[in-house]
Amino acid sequence: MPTVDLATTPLRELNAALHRTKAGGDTSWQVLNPRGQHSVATGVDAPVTVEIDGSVGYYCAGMNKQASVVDQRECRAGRRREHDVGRGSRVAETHREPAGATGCGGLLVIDGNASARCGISMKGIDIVVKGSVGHISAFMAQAGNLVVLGDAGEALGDSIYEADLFVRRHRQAALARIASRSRWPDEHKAVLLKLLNAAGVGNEVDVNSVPPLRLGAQALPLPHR
Amino acid sequence: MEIFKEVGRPDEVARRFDLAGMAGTHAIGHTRMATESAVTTNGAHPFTTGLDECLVHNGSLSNHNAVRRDLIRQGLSFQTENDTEVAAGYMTWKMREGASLEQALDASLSALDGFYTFVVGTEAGFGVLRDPIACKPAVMAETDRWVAFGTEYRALVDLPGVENAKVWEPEPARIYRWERH
Repeated sequence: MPTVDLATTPLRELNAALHRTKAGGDTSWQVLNPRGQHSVATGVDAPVTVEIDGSVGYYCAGMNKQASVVDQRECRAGRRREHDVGRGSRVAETHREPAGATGCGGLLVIDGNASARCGISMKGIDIVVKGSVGHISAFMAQAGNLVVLGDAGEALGDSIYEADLFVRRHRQAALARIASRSRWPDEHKAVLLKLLNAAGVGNEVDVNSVPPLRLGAQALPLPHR
Repeated sequence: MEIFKEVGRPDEVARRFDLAGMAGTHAIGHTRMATESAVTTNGAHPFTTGLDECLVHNGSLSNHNAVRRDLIRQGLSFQTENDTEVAAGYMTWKMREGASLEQALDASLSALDGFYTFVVGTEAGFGVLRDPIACKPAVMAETDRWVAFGTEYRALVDLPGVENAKVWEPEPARIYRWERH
């Protein structure tokens, strides 16, 4: 398993080596000391797993096809476009918006909190956040599922299209007014259970505790004072 | 409080002013990407808001021309066309009228239109404020020994003990403030 220490190896060499990897080559990579660098493990088009030990900056795992990227500690990750439907990414926590932005497919699991604008403009990606998400998350979310087991900040799902949002708790009184939680079809529960299982919490989380939010077609009001 | 401003690469400017040789309790640094006015030394941040006060800004204001005209009518004067100078002037004016720094920052949320993360430095410490939509990035880190603000985590990565620091994203429209006593 190749181990690349970004304290001594230029990031371009790591990414170039990942780009050269084809199916059947090294399938597991470890990356040390990213120290907040941007664009770590971007543009990967091979079924590999990249484990990152440390904090990254923007665009981590961006433009990704087929790879799994795991950040064991914290990911100050920025935008990523994941076209893959089979693999996914897992991060411990992210303070850097917007995690999973414009994602087309795959699964992004965040073990802690995601910051603002999580899932902005998501186009089919599934995102499971075990903690909370920040403000304006799922803004203009077109497709895919966002599951939040904690709180959601203000203006969740502003200008949403057809993405589905499942949120366990939220602070927005305005949101509660337009969300209807009375009945939800079994197929939504099945989708949610599948995502929770994929995120490793299917046994711990009661599906009924994370209802879908049915948001109105009109945009939510933007936050103001 | 001393303010050093120059045009040039950050590492060269740091060398020219011998930042490495300086010591103190707190400091604010800023690299400007000019959006509303030209790249000049005078246009660089921070702008001073009053004695022992300064302000740096990430973002761009949209109503700065109107606010500048109002402030000029109140007796303030401006050296540049810079939008950030208007924000600094607004704080100065509010505090001249009796507001505390917190009150001035709070008032700016409705008076100033546009994108902003403000970091205000004072003799005793510093304050942080993001506009209510908060699209401009911001991250903070705190340990028992220090508190730091940066636009990106990478700016904080060399701070001693940062790997164990409490790290968070400041909320929009909320004033954060640290002071030495």
